[in-house]
Amino acid sequence: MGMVNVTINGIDMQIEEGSTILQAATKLGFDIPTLCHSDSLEHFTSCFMCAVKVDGGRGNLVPSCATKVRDGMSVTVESDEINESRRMALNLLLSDHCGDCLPPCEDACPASIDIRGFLALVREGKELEAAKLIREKAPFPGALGRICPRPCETACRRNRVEESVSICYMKRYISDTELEECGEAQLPDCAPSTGKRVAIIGAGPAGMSAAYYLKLQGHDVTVYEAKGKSGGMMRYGIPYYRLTDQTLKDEFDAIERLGVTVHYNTVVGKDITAKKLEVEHDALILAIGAQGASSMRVEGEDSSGVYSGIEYLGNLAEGKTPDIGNEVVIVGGGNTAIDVSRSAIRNGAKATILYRRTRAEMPASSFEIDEALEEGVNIQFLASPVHISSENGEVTVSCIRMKLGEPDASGRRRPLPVEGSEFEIKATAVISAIGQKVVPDGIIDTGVGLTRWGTVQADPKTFMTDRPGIFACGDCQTGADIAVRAVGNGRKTAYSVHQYLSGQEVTGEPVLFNSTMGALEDVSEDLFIGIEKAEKVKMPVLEKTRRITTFEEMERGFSKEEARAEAARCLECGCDAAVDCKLRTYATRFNADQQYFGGEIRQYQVDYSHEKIKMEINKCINCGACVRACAEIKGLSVLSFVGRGFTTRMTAPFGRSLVDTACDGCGECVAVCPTAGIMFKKEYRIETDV
Amino acid sequence: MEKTKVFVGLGSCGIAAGAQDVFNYLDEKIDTQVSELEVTSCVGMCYAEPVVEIERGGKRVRYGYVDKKFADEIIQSLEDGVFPDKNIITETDAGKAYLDRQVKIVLKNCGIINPESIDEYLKAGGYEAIKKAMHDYTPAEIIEIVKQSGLRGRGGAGFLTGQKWSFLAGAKGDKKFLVCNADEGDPGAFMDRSVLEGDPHKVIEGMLVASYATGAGEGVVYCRAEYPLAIKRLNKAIKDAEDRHFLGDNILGTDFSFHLHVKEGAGAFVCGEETALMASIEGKRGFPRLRPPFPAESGIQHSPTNINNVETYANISYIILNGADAYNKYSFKKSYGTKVFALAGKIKRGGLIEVPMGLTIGEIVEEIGGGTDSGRPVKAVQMGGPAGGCIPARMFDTPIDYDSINATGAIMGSGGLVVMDDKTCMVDVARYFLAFTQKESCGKCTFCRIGTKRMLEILTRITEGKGVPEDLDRLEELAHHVQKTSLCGLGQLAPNPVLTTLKYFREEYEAHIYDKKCPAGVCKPLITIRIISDNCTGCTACARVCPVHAISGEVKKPHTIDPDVCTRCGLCIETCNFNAIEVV
Amino acid sequence: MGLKTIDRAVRDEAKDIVREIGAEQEKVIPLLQEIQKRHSYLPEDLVEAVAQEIDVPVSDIYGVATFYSQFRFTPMGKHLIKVCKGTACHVQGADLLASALQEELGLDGEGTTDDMNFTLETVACLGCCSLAPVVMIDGKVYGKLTSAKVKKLIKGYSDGKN
Repeated sequence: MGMVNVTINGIDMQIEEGSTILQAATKLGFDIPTLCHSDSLEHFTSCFMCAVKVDGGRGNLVPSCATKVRDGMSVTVESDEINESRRMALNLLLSDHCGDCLPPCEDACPASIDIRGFLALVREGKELEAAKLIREKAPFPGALGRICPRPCETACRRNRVEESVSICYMKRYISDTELEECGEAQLPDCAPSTGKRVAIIGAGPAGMSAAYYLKLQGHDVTVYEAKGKSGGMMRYGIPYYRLTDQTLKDEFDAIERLGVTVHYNTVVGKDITAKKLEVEHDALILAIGAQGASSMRVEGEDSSGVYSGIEYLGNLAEGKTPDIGNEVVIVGGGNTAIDVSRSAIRNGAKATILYRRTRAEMPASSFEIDEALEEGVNIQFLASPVHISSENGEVTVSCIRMKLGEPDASGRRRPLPVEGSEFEIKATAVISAIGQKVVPDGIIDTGVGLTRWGTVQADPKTFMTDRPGIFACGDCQTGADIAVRAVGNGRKTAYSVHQYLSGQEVTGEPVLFNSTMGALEDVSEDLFIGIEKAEKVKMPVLEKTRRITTFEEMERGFSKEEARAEAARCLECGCDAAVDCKLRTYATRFNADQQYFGGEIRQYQVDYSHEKIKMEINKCINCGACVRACAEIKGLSVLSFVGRGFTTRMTAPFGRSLVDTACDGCGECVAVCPTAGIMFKKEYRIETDV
Repeated sequence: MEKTKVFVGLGSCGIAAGAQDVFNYLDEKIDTQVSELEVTSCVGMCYAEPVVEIERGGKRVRYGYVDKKFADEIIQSLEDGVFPDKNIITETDAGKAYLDRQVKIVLKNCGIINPESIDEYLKAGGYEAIKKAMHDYTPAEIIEIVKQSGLRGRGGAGFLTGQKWSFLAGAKGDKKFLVCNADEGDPGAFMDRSVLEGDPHKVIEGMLVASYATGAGEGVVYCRAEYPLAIKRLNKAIKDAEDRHFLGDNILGTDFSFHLHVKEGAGAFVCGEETALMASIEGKRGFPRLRPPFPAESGIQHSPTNINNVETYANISYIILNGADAYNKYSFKKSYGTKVFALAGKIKRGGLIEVPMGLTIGEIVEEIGGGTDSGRPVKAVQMGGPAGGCIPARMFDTPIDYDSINATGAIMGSGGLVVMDDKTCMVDVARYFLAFTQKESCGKCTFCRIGTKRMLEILTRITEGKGVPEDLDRLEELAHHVQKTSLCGLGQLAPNPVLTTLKYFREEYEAHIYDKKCPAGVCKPLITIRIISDNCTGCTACARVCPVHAISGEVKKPHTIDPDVCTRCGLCIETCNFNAIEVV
Repeated sequence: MGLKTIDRAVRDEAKDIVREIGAEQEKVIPLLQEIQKRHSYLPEDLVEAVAQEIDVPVSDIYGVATFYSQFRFTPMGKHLIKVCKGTACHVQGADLLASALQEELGLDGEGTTDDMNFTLETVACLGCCSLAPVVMIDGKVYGKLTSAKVKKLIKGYSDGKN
C-alpha cells in the first residue's frame, strides 16, 4: 500500500493508504475518545464520540474510527466545536444510562468515604484495614462515627427495603476495635520531608484534617489554636455525652503524634498576626470556624440570663457548670438547639425549645429530636420569641404563635405571626441557638475577601482564597455546617496546598463524574426484588435515668456480632466497572452533565441468569460492541439489536434470559463493553482472579 | 360500430373514495354490446374521486364525484349515445386551474391507460425508449444524454442522475445492481404509489435504460408493503415485460439481459436511505452505514449498485425519446424538467400534480390547489416530509427548484406538499414529525436515537403548556448537534421541521411557553372548548357523542360544557351542525 | 444452556416455508412475511425453526423482525384496523379517529381486543393523503372519515355486515 499525506490539526504526516483518521491522529498522539470502536471489531459508528471535522467539507462531523484518510486531507480532531459535540454526545448517552457509579452513600458523604468498602471489610472481620480505608478520606472515624448527622444513611438504598444500613456507627465500631486491638490509631507513614512549611489557623475538624493530609505528604505543619484543646466545634459545640473527651484525644492527639505541631491558647490576631504567619510560611490555611452566635433580633436579647448556645456548650466542654437554673428556654431548631436542651436536662433543668416552624421543617436530625423528646425536652412548635426581659434572675419571654405561609427562597414555608396569639413563658435562662457566624477579626489582615454572608471567599473546588497561597476551609468557608464536610474539605484543601507547594497548577482534588439512578424515592422497585428484610441493628444506649443525669457517653457501641450482621445488610450499590468505565472517564474528561436533558430513561433491568455473565441492560449505551463481538469473534450471535428508535436494546431473542441462549461465558463481549452493560459476575471474577 | 369506452380510475385513493364500488356497479349494469368498461389508475384529480371517463368517437370526457346515482345517469347516457353534461371536471374553471399549469411527463399515462395492460403501454409509445437507446446510442452516450438533461434525483437529495449512472458504469465488478427505491416513506407523499399503480411499465423501462447504460444485470424494486396495489401491478408488469422479452435474458433478441424483481419492504422509514435500503434488501436490519464506500463502489452483496427513485426512472423514457434539450426546456436555475407533487392537507383541490420547475409554491397552492378547503387563510406548506420543513405563506413566491427550496430550510424532498391553515399548530406539527422520526430512528447513533427523543420530549412539554423559556434554546442547540453529528440523512435532516418552524413561527412557540396558549387551538391542554349559546339550538347531538358526558343542557336550550370534565377531544365540534362550539 | 426444543410439526412447517421462499440471508424478510401471512403473527418456535433451517442465528432474525413495524409477535384479531398517521391525516384530525376507535374497541392504544375481533395499529402513511383522514380495515381504505363515521364502520365489521 502506498502512503498518503494528511494534515491533522495543522500537523502534516504521512500514513499508509487505507488508514482511518483515528489511526492517523492516534499516531500523532491525539487521544480521540471512542466508545463503540474496538480494534478487534469491524467499525460500527454509533457512539459518535470520535467525531472529527474534515476541513472544507459540508461542515458536519464524521466518525474518525471509520473514515479513511485521503491524500491531501486536512482534519481537525480537537477543537471547541468538537469537544462540545463530544460533551453533548455524553450528555445524551448519560441521560439514558441508568446506573450509579458510586454507591449513593459515598456520593452523599461530604468526605467521600468508601463506605461500601469498609462495610465489606467489617463483614470479613478486617476492622484494622477498614480503619485504614476510612483514614484515606477522613482521619476521625471514632468522632465522626459518633456525631455525624449521616447524609449517607439518608441516601442509603436500603431505606427502600426497610431501613438504612447503620453506616455511621460502623465507623465508631471500627475505630473502637482498632483502639482495643492496637491501643492507638494506626496511621500511615509520612512521606519524606519536603521542607515546605504550612501554618493552619484552627485545630478543629477542618484544620486538623488538612494538617493530617499535609503531614502525610511530608510537609511541615504548625497549627495555631485559640482554645486549650483541639477539636474545634466537635469539642466545644458538641456535649461529651455524645462525643467524649477521650475519643477526641485519641483522634486529634494522633495527628500531633504524626509530627504536627499545635500551639494551643494562641489567639491569632492577638498573640500572633495572621500576616506574620503568612510571611513565615509557604502556605497558610484559614480554618477558624464560625464561632460567633447569630443574633435572635429580638428586643431585650442582651438581658441578663440570656446566653448563646455555643457559649453554653463551650463552657460545658471546658468542664464548667453554667448556672442556668431549672427552667431553660432554648430558641432554635437545629442540632445545636437539641444539644443545648439535652445538656440542660443533664444539668438538672427543664428544657423548652421554641421553634417557629413545625417538626417537618426542623433542621435538626430526626433521630436526635426523638432522643430529645424521649429525654423530656419540651418542644413548642410554631412559636417565636418577640421580646425578652429579666428581673431578679427571672427571664420573661414574650412569644407569639406562628403559622406557615408560602415557601420562601429556601423552599421552606415562611412562618407568619398569628395576630393576637401572644403568650409568655417564664424561665431561669434563655439560650439562643439559631445559628453561627464567622468572626474574621483575626485574619482580616491577610487581605482575603469575604462573601456577603461573611464567610471567607475561596474557590469551592481548590479552597484557595483570592490571595494565592492562602486557603480557607471548614465553617469559615462554608458557614456553619456539619463536621464531616469540614473534615472532607480539610482533606481537599490539603490536596490543593500540596499542588501549590509542589509548583503544580492548583486544580483541587479531582472529582470523577458520577452517574446516578436518581433520588432514593425515584429508583425502580426492581432494584429490591429478592432482598430479604433484615432489621437494622439498634445501638445500645445507657438506660434513661442514667442518661439524663450525667454526661457519660450515651451510646455504647456495637459488638462484633452486631457489627458484622449490620455490615451484611449493605446492598453493595455502585458500579463494579466504575474504575475502568470508559463512559465515566470521558464524562469526567468532557465535563458531562447527566441532568442536562432529563427525560425518559431506560429502566433498571439486570439479567443475572447466567452463571458467569451479568447483563445490566439499564447501563447499556447501545454501542453494539457485545453483539458484534459475539458474532464476529465468537461466531455465536447470542445477542442482537432488538427494536427500533429510542427503545432499541441489545438482548437475546424473544426476551430470553442469557442462560437460555448458547452463551458459554467466554467474555468476548465483556472485553469490548465500554461501560458496565455486560460484565463478569463479581463472584466469578474473584474466582478467576485466584 | 366502435364501442364507447368507460374508464374507471382505480388507484388506491380512488378505490378508497368508492371507485371500486362504482366499477362493480357499472360492470354489472353496463350493456357490453355498446360500451366497454376499462380500468385505469389515478389521473391525479384526487379531490374529485371517484373519477370516470367516457370516450367515444375520439372524444374523451372526464367526470368526477361519481356515485351510484350518477353512475345510473352514465349508464343511461351510454344507452342514449350521449355524454352526460354534469360533473365534468376538466372543462370547468376549477378543472382548468388545476390542469393548465401542469406539464405531464412522468404522469403522462397515469389515469389514461390501463396499467395492467402492456399493450396499452406499448400503444402509448411504451418501450420505444429502450429500443431507441439500444439502437441509436452506446451506453456512454445514454449517460451523456441523461447528464445533459440535468435530471436530478427525485427522491429528495437531488444528486445528478447521469453522474450517478456514470459511477456505476465505471465501477469494476462482474455483478452490478440497479435498485428502484419505491419505499416512499414520507407521510403525506404518494407520488411513487400513483406512478407505480398508474404506469408501472414506465418505471421498468427507465430501469431498463439505466441497466443498458450502466451494465447492471440485476434490478430490484424495493417497494413499501403498505402499497399492495402498486406491488400487484408492478409484479404483473414485470411478468408481462418478461413475456414480451423486454426483461430477462436476451432482451429484444440481443445479448443484453436484465432481471428485475420486487422486494417488499416491511415498514421502516429509514430504509428510504440508500445504505439502509441495501441492508434491508440483504435481509438485515435497516441500519445505515458510513459512506464512503458509496453504493457504486460497494453496494448490495458488496457489488456496485445504483439507486434511484421511482419518479427519477419514470423520467428516463421521455428524455431518451425526446432528447435532453426537450427535457431541460423546463428549467429554472439549476433544476430541470418537472416535479411531481402530492398536494394534500387543508387544500381545496388535493391530488397528484406535475409541474415544471420554476412555478412558485403560491401558484401551486393558490392556483392549482385553489387555496384551503375551509376557506381559511393558508399559513404554510410542509415540504419534504419529516426531513423537510414548513415554508410560511409570506414566502410563497419561492420557486420550485432544488436550491431555492433548500434556502428556506425545507427540502424539495420526494414531493409531499401538505398545506396548513391557521388552525394548524406549528409546534404540534414539529412535534408530530419528531415523534415520527424518533419512532423511525434505527436506534444506532447517539444523536439520532437519544437526541431526537429529547427534542420530542421538549416539544411535547411545550404543547402541554409545560414549556419553559430555556426550552427553545436547548431545542435549537440540540437540533444543530443532531444535524451535524448524525450518520445518515434521517438524523441529519430530522431537526428540519423544528428549525424551520422555530425560524418562521417562533411566536407560536412563545405563545405556548409564555402565555400558555395555542393560537391555532390545537394543543389540548392549552385550549378550552365552549358552546356559543347564541348558535346552540339545543339539539343534544353534542351531549350524546361526548364520551365523558361533559355536556349538559335541556332540549332546545343552549347547552354548556363543563371544562373540568371535558377532555378536549373535539368530537362535539365535529358533530355540531350549527357552528355552535368553539375552541378558545 | 437451555436451548429450545421444537415440535416436529413446527419443524416441518419451517421446512415447507423455506422450500417455498428460499434459504438465503436475503430471504429473511420474505420468510418472516410468509410466517406472518400464515399465522397473522410470528410464533417463537416457528421463527426459531426457520432460523435453524436456513442456518442464520435466531437472534439475528429476531433483531430483523423487531426492526420492521410490519411484524408482530402476538396473534392478530379477526379484523386489522390501521389508522393512518400521515401528515395530511394528522392535520385533518387522525388523532380524533384513533381515540374514537380506541374508545369503541375498549383499547388503550394499539393492540388486540379481548374477543380477538379487532387489532388496532397505526401506520406511517397509506398514501391516500387527499382523502385524509383515512383508516384501512382488512386492506380496504376508507377516506374522509369522522369519529362518528369510523365508529359506524367498526360496528358494521363487528356485526359481520362489512
